[in-house]
Amino acid sequence: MEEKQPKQKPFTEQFDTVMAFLCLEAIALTCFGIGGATGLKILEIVGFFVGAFTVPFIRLNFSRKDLSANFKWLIPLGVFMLLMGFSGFFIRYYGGFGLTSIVYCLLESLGLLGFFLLGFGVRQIPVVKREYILYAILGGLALYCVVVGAYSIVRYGLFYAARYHGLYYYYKGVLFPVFQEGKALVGFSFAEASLDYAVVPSMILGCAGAGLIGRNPKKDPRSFAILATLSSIGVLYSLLIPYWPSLVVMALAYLFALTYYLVRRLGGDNPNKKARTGFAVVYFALIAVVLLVVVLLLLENRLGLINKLFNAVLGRVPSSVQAAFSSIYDAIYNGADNAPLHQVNLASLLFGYQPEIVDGRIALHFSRFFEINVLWQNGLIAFLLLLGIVFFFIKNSRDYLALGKEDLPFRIAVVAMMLGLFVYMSLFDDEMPLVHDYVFAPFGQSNHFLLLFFLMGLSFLPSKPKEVAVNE
Amino acid sequence: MNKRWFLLSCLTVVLTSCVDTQQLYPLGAYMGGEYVEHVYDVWEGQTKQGFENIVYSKTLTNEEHGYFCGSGKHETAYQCCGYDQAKAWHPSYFKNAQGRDLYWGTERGLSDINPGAPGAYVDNSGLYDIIYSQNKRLDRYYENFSRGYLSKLYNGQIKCNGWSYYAMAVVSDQGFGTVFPYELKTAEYFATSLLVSTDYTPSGQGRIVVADIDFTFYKYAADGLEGYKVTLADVYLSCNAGAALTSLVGFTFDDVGISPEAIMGLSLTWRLKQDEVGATNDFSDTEKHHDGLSIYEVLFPDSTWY
Repeated sequence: MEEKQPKQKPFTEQFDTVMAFLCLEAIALTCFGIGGATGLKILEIVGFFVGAFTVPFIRLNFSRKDLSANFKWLIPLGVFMLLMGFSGFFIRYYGGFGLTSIVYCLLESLGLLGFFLLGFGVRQIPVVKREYILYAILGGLALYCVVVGAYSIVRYGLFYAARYHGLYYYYKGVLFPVFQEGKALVGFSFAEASLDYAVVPSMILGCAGAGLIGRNPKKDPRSFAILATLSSIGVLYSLLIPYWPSLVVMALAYLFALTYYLVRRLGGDNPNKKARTGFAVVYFALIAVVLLVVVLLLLENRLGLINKLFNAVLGRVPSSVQAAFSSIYDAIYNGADNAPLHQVNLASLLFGYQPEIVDGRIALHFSRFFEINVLWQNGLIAFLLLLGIVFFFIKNSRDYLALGKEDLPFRIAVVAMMLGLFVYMSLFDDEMPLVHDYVFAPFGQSNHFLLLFFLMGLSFLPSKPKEVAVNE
Repeated sequence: MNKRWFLLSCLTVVLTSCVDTQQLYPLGAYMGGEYVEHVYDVWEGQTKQGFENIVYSKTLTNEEHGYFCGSGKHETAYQCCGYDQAKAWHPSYFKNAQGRDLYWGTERGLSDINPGAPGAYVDNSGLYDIIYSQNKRLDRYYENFSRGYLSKLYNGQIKCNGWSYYAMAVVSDQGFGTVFPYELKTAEYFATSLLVSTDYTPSGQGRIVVADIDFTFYKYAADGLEGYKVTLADVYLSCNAGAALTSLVGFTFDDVGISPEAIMGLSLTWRLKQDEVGATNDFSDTEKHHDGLSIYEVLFPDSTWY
């Protein structure tokens, strides 16, 4: 008599624990930035496959009809991912059309897709506690900050950027400003990098501390203590240098979180309605301003308005912000071999400039605004898609904050990290960060960009849940 | 109590190590507008005391098995430069690992460094198998030679190349002493790249300056350092003929009878013997013009270090 085979459990039940582990491990290792550039490529592959394996879990909560109806908004995001990988710039950078460059470009696109799916999919795995997702992110970042921070203190001492302001050291016969550099982990070794670049992990970590706002230490002392400990590592890292731009961005994230929390708490009977109106006004005003700036940028060679504005404003803002703004102008008007943007050919404009590469060096001025670097490296289409995606996710973040299933402090921490990373990289992106070496490290191809996509996936609301007025 | 001591020792380690902030300078140090401000006369560690404890000395003259100096020709300041003498006496020193010739950096329009903005970091790795000094530079093999003011003496840049005071250290009659970041294990010979710089610079009138130069090597002894002094007598160097006209000056350790093992420091002192314009290397003398010994590079080619 034939024995009846026991019914096999579905994938989502059989492998939920394994998938949970893999998802959390992938994001933790990405946040730590293990293995440098090679490690990143491996993480992109891992992220893609692990992200793909979360699809069955997504299908648990969304029918095919739901998916096709609600995910259409993500088509531009998919095109953007494709263009972030495949661009004239990166194909040239990786050595022209060939197997290597195609594989590298493909990995970038798949990595972004994978990490977005990973962020969205990990939420759908029932066994994954939400707070563990946050701990995985913060754990990776905190480990990086502890390792690099300890090394930095041993090498430079405490508060060195202030104590040694204006002082230089010789390295191979060349003078370098000690007060403008920090340590970074590149692969498995330490290297000197610009402070703008070196503090990025600590800045993200510090921003997550915004999640403490609204978290009751008496109700949930364990979560409070873990989040407070991890995020304070980020704050301390920047404070012990000290480096003001990252601290200011963290303060901005806290201010945002506090404002949002207070509006929710004190906003009257129907805070969502009032907040929604306020948000809509700011949101559309911001879109109008950004569109105006983009049009002015493209017409600058005829109008010269931005030049005049820069000249009027530059003397009145801090030097670090001055440098950031000057870099836009430099990138647009002296960008490629000192040729302005409007002189490049149409294909380069649309799909990324093809730079001259001499001795491994790229003849291109990079901006401190990562968006402008995307314009050069990935082309106008990717740039416009990026702007669209930014606005889409601003609105999505607002919905996520109001209606996400996770508790409010978790949501605030996620949005604060996204906000901090976006604002910081929009002012202080450094694409040639190493002080003693020529290493091209574009933000668009970094572990932090993957983290941004993970957070976008994590906060993505494909269908709008029914709104309820809540006072959390 | 134990915790307190632990924390205190951690703090001590943190505050006292700070390797990267030990040698810091304001922008423009040793590069001011006045020539006398450029003099480097620091004696690191116990090198000054070691200089008073010379246990061995030898004087060399410019001949085979003595010291080599530039082209060996010194009829005019413009030919008093380069490495021809060393290459003629020791051709094997000027081959790369594949047996191909290494160049000084003026032949075939070659430069000893890749072009770049003066004082800005330049990747010279493309020259490692082509240029003698780039092939032999100490910081290529031993990272700790990369740091400090004197790192300019270990970076393979053997002449000015528009870098001016970024490229060299100017030495007065006070000399200078340095402690190496490692101890020497093996080395066949020692070489430097030298010329004489001056604040008497009538346009287009290069001159030859004759000097006695002491290189004192230091080793650890029971009571501090002991010095092994090698004096190069009557060294002919180019002056005011062009900042690219440096000479490779050096000697083999066999010829001086010193074992290079355990050398941990070096000092350079010099006496100006002859300059037709009557300048002095005593920079405290404000009545006269000054000559400084400009040292661009210190080489222990193909050496190994502890």
